[in-house]
Amino acid sequence: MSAVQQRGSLTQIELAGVTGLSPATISNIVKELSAAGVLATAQSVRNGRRALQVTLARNLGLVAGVRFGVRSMSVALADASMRVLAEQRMPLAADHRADAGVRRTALLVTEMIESVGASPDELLAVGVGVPVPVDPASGEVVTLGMMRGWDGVDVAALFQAELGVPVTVDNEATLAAIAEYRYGAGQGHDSVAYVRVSHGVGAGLVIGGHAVRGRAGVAGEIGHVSVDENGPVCRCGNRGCLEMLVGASSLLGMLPAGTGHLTLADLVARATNGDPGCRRVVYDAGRHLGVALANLCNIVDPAIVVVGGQLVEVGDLLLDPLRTSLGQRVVATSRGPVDVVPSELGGSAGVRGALAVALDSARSAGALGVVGS
Amino acid sequence: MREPTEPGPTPLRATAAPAGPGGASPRASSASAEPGSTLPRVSSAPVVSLRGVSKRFGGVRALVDVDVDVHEHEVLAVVGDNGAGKSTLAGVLAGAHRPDSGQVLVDGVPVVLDSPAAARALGIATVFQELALVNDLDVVENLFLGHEVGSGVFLDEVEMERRAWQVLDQLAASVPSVRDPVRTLSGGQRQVIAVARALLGSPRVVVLDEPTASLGVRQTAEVLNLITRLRARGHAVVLISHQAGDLQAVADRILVLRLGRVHGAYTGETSYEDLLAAMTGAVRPGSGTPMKADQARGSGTGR
Repeated sequence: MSAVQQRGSLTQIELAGVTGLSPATISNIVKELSAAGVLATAQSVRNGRRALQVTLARNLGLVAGVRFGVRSMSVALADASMRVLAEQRMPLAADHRADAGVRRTALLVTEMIESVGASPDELLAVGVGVPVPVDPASGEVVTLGMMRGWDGVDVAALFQAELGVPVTVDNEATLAAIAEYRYGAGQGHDSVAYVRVSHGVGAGLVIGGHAVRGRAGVAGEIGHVSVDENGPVCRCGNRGCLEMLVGASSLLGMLPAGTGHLTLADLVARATNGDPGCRRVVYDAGRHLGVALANLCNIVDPAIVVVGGQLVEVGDLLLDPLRTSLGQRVVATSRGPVDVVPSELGGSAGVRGALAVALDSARSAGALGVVGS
Repeated sequence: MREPTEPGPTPLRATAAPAGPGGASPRASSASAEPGSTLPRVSSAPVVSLRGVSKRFGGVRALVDVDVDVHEHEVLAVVGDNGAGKSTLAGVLAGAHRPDSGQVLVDGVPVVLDSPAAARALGIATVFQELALVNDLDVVENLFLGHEVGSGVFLDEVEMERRAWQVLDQLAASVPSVRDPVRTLSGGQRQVIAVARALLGSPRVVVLDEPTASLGVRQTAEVLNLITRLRARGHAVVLISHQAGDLQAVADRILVLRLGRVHGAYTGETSYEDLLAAMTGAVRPGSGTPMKADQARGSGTGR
């Protein structure tokens, strides 16, 4: 059950491989659960042979995933088989507030449920990602002074009050790492390091199939690793953090005057179109990221590094200098340096991860008909 | 509905190129090479400028000595309390109000905007709060009302429908069918139709007066995304609203009007408190120092 839920849909043979049970046992379990209305099956073809595709039945309910970024948010609605039914993005003000943001998002979730023809009581659980560290136990934002309007806010409680369903809150990069590990570029690897380079910089770690959150949810805050100890003071209170070198406002601030107000999307488009100044800015960002990621790789040695966020839309302009600078600094092994790949899920990695943890919590709460594993 | 007239998204995108901003000036033509992509603004000269514009309605001074510059590839937000002169400013740009004094410059050349048609001819299209759509007509009829495509008494319905899809695709609009009467559409969709109609004349400046005032959250999200796409296509967008949060989400620059005067110009990253202080007059006019805010954030460039 858990295997089907985590992967969305897979064939009976794959299910046997994943669970280690014999195909005959799987066949019996699937038959029983389909009769109970928990699983749905469909004929498909795999490697030229007939196969039975197994998914969770759709009528089990809906989950919502919410991702707050520094300058945007997105909300997605999926059914129990992880099929995304509706998705909506929205730009946000530079210093948006938790109270107003949660209120609007809750309204948005309700509007989206109506738009797919479902009723609000079909919502089972909500997963929420925020771009700051979150206490994994309480769902409370634990930082001081990192994000005005969100510091110390109990995001889970705010959402619960609006929507009345179980809410899981996590760091947005951790959720993206979970999504890449399960559905994206990290599939098939047991440890994945995901780094998001956008307005802010953050990382999420999945080690041995488990997301690493740390004591207070600060694990993976690669944006606040010191790169230049005499550098400018960061919003986190330290000096010369990676984010002060590769965060969007720093990158845009390096560009010459007289070009008008630019956004991160403008930088990406100009670099892609060959603007020399923008390419240089992206190149340097790649080198700095490589330094910080090399330190991370020397400590946790992930099987793959997935780079996401808006800046990676420039592709190898960012990734080539990143790979070079990373390769120079990691411990040389006979296996060669770790693979660095762009995110497969792109901008929706965070929201997919939020859907995934919402579905996990719905399952462990028994809402999907089977309790526990 | 969509099948017979639409060969596929790719050729449509290609034919969409002339619908980019302008074509008359060398700057505009260099910026309309590829729709949907963000291209550098070669020159920072404003498309439209107001210089010392004043407007009186009887004893009410709606606008007093207002200077505004509107650039391509930029969202200029205009915010202010009720009666601050926001809608009058939109009216001046739209050609609905003639200023009592002051100049309107397009590409640095003084012009007279004495009618909405004159403004449209100069590349300024305005979408007012009342969208002026005809509820019982369908989307295509609304888009082409008053400038139908066809020869003689016959309308070229196929051509109009094709062009309707083309412009709606550019806006990534989620409209179920262009043959549905407009009254069956949601508030956000109607807003998109009104914007689409404004875009049919390939304007360089799009003025939106309170586009999110009567919309739900989802529709507001759609309109904000639409504004971002218009900016990415190189249009100058003038967004007039009193909802500071929505403005800050998409604006490059924010102009605060208070009692008909420009009370300050801020960057899009300005904090809510500073904006509110300017709107309510808690700070003196001109005390907003966008340069300083720019440098402190390290994100803007000297304007």
